[in-house]
Amino acid sequence: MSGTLKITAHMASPIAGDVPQIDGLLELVMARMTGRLQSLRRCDQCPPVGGIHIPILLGAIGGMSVYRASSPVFVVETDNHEFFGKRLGVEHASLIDPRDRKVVAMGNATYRSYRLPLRVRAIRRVVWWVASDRRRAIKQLLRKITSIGKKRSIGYGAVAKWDVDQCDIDMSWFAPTEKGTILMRPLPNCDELPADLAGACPDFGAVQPPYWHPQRYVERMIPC
Amino acid sequence: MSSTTILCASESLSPITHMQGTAGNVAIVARETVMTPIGVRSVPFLSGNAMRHRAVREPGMLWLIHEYGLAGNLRLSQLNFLLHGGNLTESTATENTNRIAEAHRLWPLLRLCGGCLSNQILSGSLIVTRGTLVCEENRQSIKCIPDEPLLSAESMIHEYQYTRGNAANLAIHEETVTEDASTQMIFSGQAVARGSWWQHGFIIRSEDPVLIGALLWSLRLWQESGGTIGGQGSRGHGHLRLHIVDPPVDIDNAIGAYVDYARSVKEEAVDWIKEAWKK
Repeated sequence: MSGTLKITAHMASPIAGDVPQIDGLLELVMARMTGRLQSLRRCDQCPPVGGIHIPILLGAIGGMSVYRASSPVFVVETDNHEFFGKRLGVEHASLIDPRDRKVVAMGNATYRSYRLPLRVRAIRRVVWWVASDRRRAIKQLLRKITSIGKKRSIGYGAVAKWDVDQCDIDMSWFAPTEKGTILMRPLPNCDELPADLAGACPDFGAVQPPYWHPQRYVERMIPC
Repeated sequence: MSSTTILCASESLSPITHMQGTAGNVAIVARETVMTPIGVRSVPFLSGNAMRHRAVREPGMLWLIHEYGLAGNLRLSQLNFLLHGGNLTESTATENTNRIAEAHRLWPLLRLCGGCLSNQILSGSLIVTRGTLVCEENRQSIKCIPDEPLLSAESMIHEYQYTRGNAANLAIHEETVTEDASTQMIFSGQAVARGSWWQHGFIIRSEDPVLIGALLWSLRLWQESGGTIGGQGSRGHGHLRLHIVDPPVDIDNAIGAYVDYARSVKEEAVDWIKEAWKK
């Protein structure tokens, strides 16, 4: 019988982009720690599931191995957008070789200036439920994650504190309610899903990390 | 994988005008959403993007360019790479791991800030946190503050107004201008008051003393050149005085280690930048 943990990230700054899956996040940290973080491209062969060991249990459903970890659960306080920009610093033109001092198009091509919007959400805390007996190992890994989401290098998604608590109910895949079984994470769209599944819709995407890799894409059900 | 955190407190020596846009013809200070015990508030902040460029990449790279004798000898694409991180302009059919490893070895500041060659991305290892205004709304995010109530964020915001010559009313139309017509154009905006304090910081995903030294040296160069952030710098706005809180290393030793290292690999570093843009 495995234990269930509730992981809470207390946020110190707004989150840009999407909030990540906790299994993907822990795989990234573990890959860094073990020196296995390589640049994986969309055209490369995707590594096997569980090849990078993380302290979360794997479950089997629809003929696939899926981590027993819920999607992030959070309440959005404000949802708006900010901008990040870039402009070629022409004030330093004297540093350029005189033979290469040419007229540069700033409205298109390589040196185009930009001011791009970024979806930014203010969130107090994010919660994930995972099936695992290794609370201390998870805490140690989480301590190495200082921020989540997009544009972390410029201060978005800073995590002030991580909490990992024991939990009585396993809500890593499903959360039983009076109105049916709520889907808690993307799972393969298969016959093994509960008949009274609620809060779910069909989609095409990954159910295992790395979630962005096209070789991981399957017909799936996602929480909605 | 370990990390080094450098926590800073900076004092505004002049009004801070880090803008996010305009309302009518008034420039508005950039604000972020902050959740306080009494509700959601919009509070001025300094973006990590601005801090990363103005306080780290630009001063550090300008020093290297001059130290390596590259001033006046760079190609436009090289300048764009060193000062602004570069652009990915070709398909990434290959990953030259040796080139990445050499870049990280020879250019510690590049290893810190990252960059983008025409056909491959070099990841960085620096996270720059946002500048958080020391005010009552941000109490929960500020370390080491007194129990007494702080000023509210809005009480620190004031408006500036300047004038400049309006060309439309100057010499060109002299014959049509009446005596009482003003030749001055007014422009105005918001600013965070002089004397305000900001908490910000830097997280390096490494404990390499050379990397830490590269960051500290950039910060020192930034301070020596005025330590400005945000707009209206030409009118004296945006000066910050930086204080590093409980530095994790001896600052002078770390800077010395970095400067010595950067000088020791000068020829190799220059060769690398030439090789990376060789057609």
